[in-house]
Amino acid sequence: MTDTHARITVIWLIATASWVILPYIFHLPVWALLPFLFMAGWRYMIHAHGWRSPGRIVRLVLLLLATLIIYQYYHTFLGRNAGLTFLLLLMGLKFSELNAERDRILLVFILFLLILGNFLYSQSLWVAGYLVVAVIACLATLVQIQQPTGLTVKKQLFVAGKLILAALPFMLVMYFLFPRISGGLWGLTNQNTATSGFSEELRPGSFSRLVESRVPVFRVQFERDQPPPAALQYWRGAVLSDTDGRRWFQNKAVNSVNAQVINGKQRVTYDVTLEPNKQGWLFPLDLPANKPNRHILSQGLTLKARHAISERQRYRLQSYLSYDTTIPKQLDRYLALPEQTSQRVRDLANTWRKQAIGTGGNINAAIVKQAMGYFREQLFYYTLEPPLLGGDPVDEFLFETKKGYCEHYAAAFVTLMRAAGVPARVVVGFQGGEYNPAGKYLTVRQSDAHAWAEYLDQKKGWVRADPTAAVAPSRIEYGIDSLRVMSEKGLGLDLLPGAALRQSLAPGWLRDLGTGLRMRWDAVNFAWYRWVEDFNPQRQGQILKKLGLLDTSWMLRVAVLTAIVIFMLAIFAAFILRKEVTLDKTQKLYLSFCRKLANVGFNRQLSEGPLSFASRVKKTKPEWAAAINKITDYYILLRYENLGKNITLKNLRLAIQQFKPL
Amino acid sequence: MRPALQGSQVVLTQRSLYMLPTGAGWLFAVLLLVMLMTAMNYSNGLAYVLTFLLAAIAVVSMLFTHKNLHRLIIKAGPNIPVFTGSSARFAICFENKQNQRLGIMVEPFVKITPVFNKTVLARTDIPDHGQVCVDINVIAKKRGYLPMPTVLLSTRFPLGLLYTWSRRISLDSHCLIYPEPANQKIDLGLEQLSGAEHSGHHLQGDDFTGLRKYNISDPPKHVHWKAVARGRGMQTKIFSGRHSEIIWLDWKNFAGHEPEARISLLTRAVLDADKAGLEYGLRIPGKIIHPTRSSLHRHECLKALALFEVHSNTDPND
Repeated sequence: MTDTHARITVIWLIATASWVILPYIFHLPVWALLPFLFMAGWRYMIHAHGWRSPGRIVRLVLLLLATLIIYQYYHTFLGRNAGLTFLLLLMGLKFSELNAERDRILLVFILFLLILGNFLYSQSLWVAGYLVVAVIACLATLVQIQQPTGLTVKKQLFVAGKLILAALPFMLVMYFLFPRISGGLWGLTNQNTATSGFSEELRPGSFSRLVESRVPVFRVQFERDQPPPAALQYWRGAVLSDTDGRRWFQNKAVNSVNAQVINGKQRVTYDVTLEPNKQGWLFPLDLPANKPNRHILSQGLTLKARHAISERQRYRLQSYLSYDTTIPKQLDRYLALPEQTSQRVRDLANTWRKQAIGTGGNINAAIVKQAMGYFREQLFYYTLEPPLLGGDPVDEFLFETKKGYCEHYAAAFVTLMRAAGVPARVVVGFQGGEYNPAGKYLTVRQSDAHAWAEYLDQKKGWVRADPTAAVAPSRIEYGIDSLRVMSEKGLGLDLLPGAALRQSLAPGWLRDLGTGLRMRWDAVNFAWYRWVEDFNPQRQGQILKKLGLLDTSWMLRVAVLTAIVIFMLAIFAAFILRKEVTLDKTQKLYLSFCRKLANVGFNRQLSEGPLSFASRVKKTKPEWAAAINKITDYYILLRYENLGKNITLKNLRLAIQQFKPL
Repeated sequence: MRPALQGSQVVLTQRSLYMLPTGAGWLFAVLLLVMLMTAMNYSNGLAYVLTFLLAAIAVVSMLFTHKNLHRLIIKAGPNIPVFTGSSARFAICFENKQNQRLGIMVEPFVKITPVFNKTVLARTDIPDHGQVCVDINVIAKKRGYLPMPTVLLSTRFPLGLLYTWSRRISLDSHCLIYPEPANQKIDLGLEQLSGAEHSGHHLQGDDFTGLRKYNISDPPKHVHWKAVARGRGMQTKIFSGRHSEIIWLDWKNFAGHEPEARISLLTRAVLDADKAGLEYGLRIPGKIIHPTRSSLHRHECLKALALFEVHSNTDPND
C-alpha cells in the first residue's frame, strides 16, 4: 500500500469513526471521546506530515490508563455505559496502531460494535437512519482497506450500497425467522424510567396542564380495524372515590377485588401500545373483559401493572361496551360527603330526590336524569380556562362561576349525587383519541385526559354518567381538539348549532395537509415500533404460525432458516453468475457497420480482423476507402488502444451513420 | 488434488474456484456472535437488524468474491528470451467479458492451503470488458526452455472477509533462456580483424535494403513503426553492412573447457561479434549456422546454443 493509499484509508477511518461516535455525546461522558480526537489527530499528522508513530510503551501505558479510568469511574466493565465507554476509549487508542491491514479491519469491526451500542439508547427511526449511513461508511471503509486502487469514492460507496441491497432479503428472512428469546440473557438491561403526566388526583387546575400536552399516552389497534364511535371511547384509568371537598383521590385501603362485570355484551378486542408511565395504569376501553397476566384488576375495575411501566409495551385486551356490574356491599364510601358541603348543594340534591321519588320507578336513574338536565339547561359553559375557585369549589362552581371543564363537572356531579343519596364516584382516564387512517390505529394523548362519573344503579350496578357530555357534547363527539380549534376562532363551544359547529371545525386544506403528513409520520413511527422495537417472541409467533412453525423447537427453526437462506443464495447465485452475453458499445457499433457492408455483399469472415476486412472491401470499392478507413481507425482506437481520448463513441457512431454503401 | 488447468488459454469456471474465510472473516464471525448476544440480552430489535444485516452481507459477499474470478479468461502473453541468471518475465493476460474486476492476485502454487500463503506475484485490476497483462518474474537458472511457473489466482474483494482462489494454472508458455555469457573477454582471433570497421557505425551509416517480417528478437529500433501505424503489421528494416568481416565461432576452438563452459564462451563470442558488427557463423556439433549479420541471426545462434543438448529442444511454443 502506497503512502497516498494509506493516507486516504486513514481519512476514511477518521471520517467514519467521527460519524459513528457523534451520537455518544448525548449519552456518555464527553471525556470518552478524547482518546479518539487525540489519536486520530496524531494519526492524521503521521500520514500528512510524517510525524512519528507512538511507540509500543506509549500505547501500553495509554491502554492501562484507559482501563483504570473506566474502573475508577464505573467500578465495573460490564453493563451498557461502562462497556461502551470502554469500547470508545479502545477505539480511540486503536488509531495509534494502524499499520497492518489487520489493525485497520479490527478498527472497523469496533466501529460496528459502537453502531450497535447506539441502539441501546434509542431505537427510533432517526437513529436508525443516521446509523444506516454509518454502516455504509464502514463497509466502504472496508472496501477501501481491501481495495485501495481502482475505485473512486463514489464507486466505493456504490459497492457498499450494492452489498447492502443484495443483503436485504437475506436480512429480512433472518430477522423474522431467527428464534427470539424473551427477556435478556444476563439481565444486564438497565433502563431509565420515563415519566407521564397522568394524574391520580382530581384537583382544580391539574388537568389544564395536561390539555396542553400532545404527548401520546397509548395507541390502540382494533381487531376489526374500526374503532367504536367516539362517544363510547372512554379509557378507564383510576377510580376516585374519596374526597375532602377540594381534592378527589383513590381509596388505597380496599384491596379485595369483588367487583365483577356481569352480562358483558359488545366485546371488543384491541391491542394497546402503552408509552411508559410511572404509576403503571393500563387504560382499558370502558370495562375490561380480561386481565393480562401480571397485572392487577382493582376494586374499581381498573387495570394496573404491578410496577411502573418503564418502557413502551404492548398488550392485547378485551372490553365490554355494554354490561352490568356487581353491586358492592359497602356503600358508605360512595355516599360520603365532606362536611363542608354547602346547604345550597344539599338542597338542590334533595329537590331532585323528592321529584324522583314522586315519579317512582328507578329512583337513581331518575335523579341522574334530573342532574343531567340541570347541567344542560342552566347556563354552564365548558371552558379550558376556568376561573380559580376558593374553599368550596363545588358550591362556587355550581352556583357562581358555572364555567369549568370535565373535572369540575365530574366533581360537582358526584357531590350532588351523593347529596341526593345516590352512590357515585369519579373516574379519571382518557376520552376519545385521534384516529390515524394511514396506520389504522387510534392515538390517545395527554390532552385527551378526561374525568367522568359513575353512579350505582340498583339493577345494573355501576353506570357511567358524563356531565361533560351534557354540557359540551362536542367535547365527546369531536374530541378535545375541537375545543382548541373553536377557541382559536374565538368561538365559545356549544354556542352554535351542530351543523355550523361541524363546519367551523372542518379543517382548512393547509391544516388538512399538515395533519395528513403528521399522521403518516406517526403511522410510520408506530409501524417501526411494532416491527423493530417491539418485535418480540409473541409477535414472531404470529408469523411462525402462518408458516406452520409455531411450537417447533428452535433447532428446527434454525434449520429451516438455514435452508431458506441457502435456497435464496442459490437463486441469487444463478442470477449474479449468469452468462453475460455482453458486447460493449464499441463492438455493437462496429457490428452495425459490418451489417451495412453485408447488405451490399461483403460478409466479414470469422477469421478476418477489422483491418483485413477493411482492405478486402477497399480493393473492390476504392471509392469507400476514406469512410472505411475512418470507421476502422476509430474502432481500433476505441477498442484496443484505449487512446480514444479525442475519439469518442459519438465520432464512431456518426462515421457509421454517414457511411451509406450502395 | 485436482489437476492443474492447462492450455494456452484457461477459463475459470465454478468448478475451478474455491473459497474460505480469511482471518478477518473469522474475526467477523466472532463480531457477529457478540452482536447477536447483545441483541438477545437487551431484546433490542435494531441490534438484531444490524446483526442480521452484517451476517447477510457476509453471505452475499461470498457471491461477489466468487464472481470476481468467475469466467475470467487467462492467456499467456508474449515473452522475451533472456540470459541464464537474469529474470525471465512471463506475461499473464486476463481477458474480462464482464464488469470491472478488482484486486485480482497471482500467487505461486505452493502445497499448502492457499489461504495461508502470503506471497503474491502480482496484483491487478481488470477494466470493464477489457484486457490486462501482468508480468511475473522468475530467475532463469538454466538455459533451454523455461516453462511458466504454475500459479493460481485469488481475490479477497470486496470486504476482505473471504478468500477465493482458483485451481492451479499451468499455461503453455515457455521462455527461451539463452546460456549465460562467459565473463571474460574472448579472444576469437579477432585481433587480425581489429583493423576492420567497428561496432555501431554500420547501423546508422549503412544502406537500407528493405523490409522483412518482424521477428520477435529484432531490436525495436529497426521496426518500421510507420508501417505499424498504418496498420500493415510489424516489419523490420534491413540494412546491409559494407564493412563486415566474416568469422566463424566454432565449438572446436574452445577445446579444453567443460561443455557448459564452452557454451558460455560461445555465447559471449556471439554477443561480442554481434556488437562488433561482424558477420559471423556458428558451428556446434549437430548444427551449423552460416555467417550473416542481423538480430534474427543473433537470436538463431543464441537459441542454438541455448538448446544444445537439451533433452527436448523442440520449441514448446510452436
